[in-house]
Amino acid sequence: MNNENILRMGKKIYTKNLTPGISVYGEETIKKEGYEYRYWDPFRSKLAAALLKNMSQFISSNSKVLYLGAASGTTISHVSDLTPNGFVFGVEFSKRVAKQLFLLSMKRRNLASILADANKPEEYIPYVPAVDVLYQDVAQKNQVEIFIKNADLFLKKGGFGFLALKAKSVDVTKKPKQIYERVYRQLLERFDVLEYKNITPFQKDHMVYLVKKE
Amino acid sequence: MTENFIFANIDSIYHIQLDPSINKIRVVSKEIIFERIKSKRDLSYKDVRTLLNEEAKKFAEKNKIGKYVFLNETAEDNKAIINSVLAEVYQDTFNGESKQVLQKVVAGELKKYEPDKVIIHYVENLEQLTKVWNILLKRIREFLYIKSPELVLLIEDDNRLVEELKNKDAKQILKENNKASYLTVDLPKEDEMELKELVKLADSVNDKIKTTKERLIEKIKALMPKTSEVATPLIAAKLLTIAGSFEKLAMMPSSRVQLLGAEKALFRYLKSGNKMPKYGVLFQHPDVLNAEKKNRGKTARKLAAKISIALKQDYFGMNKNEQ
Ligand SMILES: C[S@@+](CC[C@H](N)C(=O)[O-])C[C@H]1O[C@@H](n2cnc3c(N)ncnc32)[C@H](O)[C@@H]1O
Repeated sequence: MNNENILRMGKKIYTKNLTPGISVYGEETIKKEGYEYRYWDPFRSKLAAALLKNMSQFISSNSKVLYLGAASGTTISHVSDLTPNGFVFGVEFSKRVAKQLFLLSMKRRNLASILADANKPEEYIPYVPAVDVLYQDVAQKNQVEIFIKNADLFLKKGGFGFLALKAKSVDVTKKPKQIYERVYRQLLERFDVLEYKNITPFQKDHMVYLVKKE
Repeated sequence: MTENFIFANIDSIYHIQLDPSINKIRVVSKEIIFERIKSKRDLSYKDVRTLLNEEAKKFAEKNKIGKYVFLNETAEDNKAIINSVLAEVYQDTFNGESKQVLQKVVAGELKKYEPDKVIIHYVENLEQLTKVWNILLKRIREFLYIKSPELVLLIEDDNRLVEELKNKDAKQILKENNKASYLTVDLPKEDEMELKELVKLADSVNDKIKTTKERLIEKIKALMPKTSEVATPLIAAKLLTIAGSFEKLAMMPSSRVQLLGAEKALFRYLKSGNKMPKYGVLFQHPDVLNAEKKNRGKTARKLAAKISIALKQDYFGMNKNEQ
């Protein structure tokens, strides 16, 4: 999939700043052909890491995205850059970080913040339409369950799901490899699993999966 | 004998007949209600449930059947069904205006005053201020040692030392206490100033500790009156801090309350099988402190049970007042 809002220069990637002049978390910006681009740090964003590990691009400029575990908005700000004609909903349940996410969403016309538990989608059903992309990075024990629940409710048929899995938060006693395999099988039951990538050295013991809803 | 039931799920209402004698279940009739509910907008989870139940009731009356199996909020299956209807209803209703509505709702939530979270900040303030006090007093004693080692050795209590130094000179204090001042000296003016200013700072930190503590006690008593009585206000506040929120604390089994504050010891125990901890924060409670050593575990257990009950009374009492 092509997205003209992403810029790759060698081993570095950038996104076209939706709000020129404003940097979100102190990231470097560069100018190219009259546009401003924000550096996308793979050590701070699992999506950037996945793309650098050659995961296919699955967000188009008019995608509607539901993002679970948005935290203070590091990655979601880049997703918002990628979707100038779409919309991004960020779900976060910690008030502490959600305040920052809220302020970010006031600056970005295509971003809304939702203070809710991704385990309880009924709290945000009235606000979230069917989406093209479900992105999840919540680092929870029942991550896969949360992912499936939300995909059932919001993800369009043919839509993409991105799951960032932190082996440690699923089960500290098991080897990461065992967990990756188990999750792979769980996902296979429900989705077409397109790709999975281990994102070391950017994040330790993390696997990211890209799936498609059939 | 057959029994008649009305069973409602999201798309239909069923009239079901059970025949226990031949172990048979038969669907007598079915009415589709999904489309009817879907046509209404602005539904919440509760609305859908209410609508469904109303429809089921009507249907039951029409068919003269008294037994309903209504949708039940806690059943996960029902929840999934209801959610899927809601998601379908709302799937293409989002527009620019919805963002504004949503942001308003979220801002409202984010601006809400949460007494338990504020109390936790008071506890942290108190702990950090106490550290500041300790650091300052270490410095004051070291500095004063140049000027008057006798005075440093004479007054062991930090509060008293600051109190005395606030208004009096070292020699005067020693004299009042009938102590000799062989090694006590006058320092250059700027050094005397340095000492005086440190003392002044310590004194105002002390005042701050007092007001913070007073406010903390007032607040915890207001939020958890019964728990404060049973546990003492400061221990109640400390338990709240470790638990992270009033809700979490109130829902804890008393065995966990008993061990709150002993997390490190518990971890060590689980890892190495050394001594199992019997209490955490509750150790500071007079009941436990005053108990004979061999009875302390038992006393802590009893105390935790009492605190647990008080917590639930406070927590559910609070919600009642709100409504
Ligand atoms: C690893 S961080 C996400 C970082 C973010 N995706 C980024 O790259 O900028 C995980 C976040 O998920 C949030 N979270 C965890 N469980 C959640 C849940 N059940 N519902 C909503 N948010 C959750 C946490 O509060 C935390 O902020």
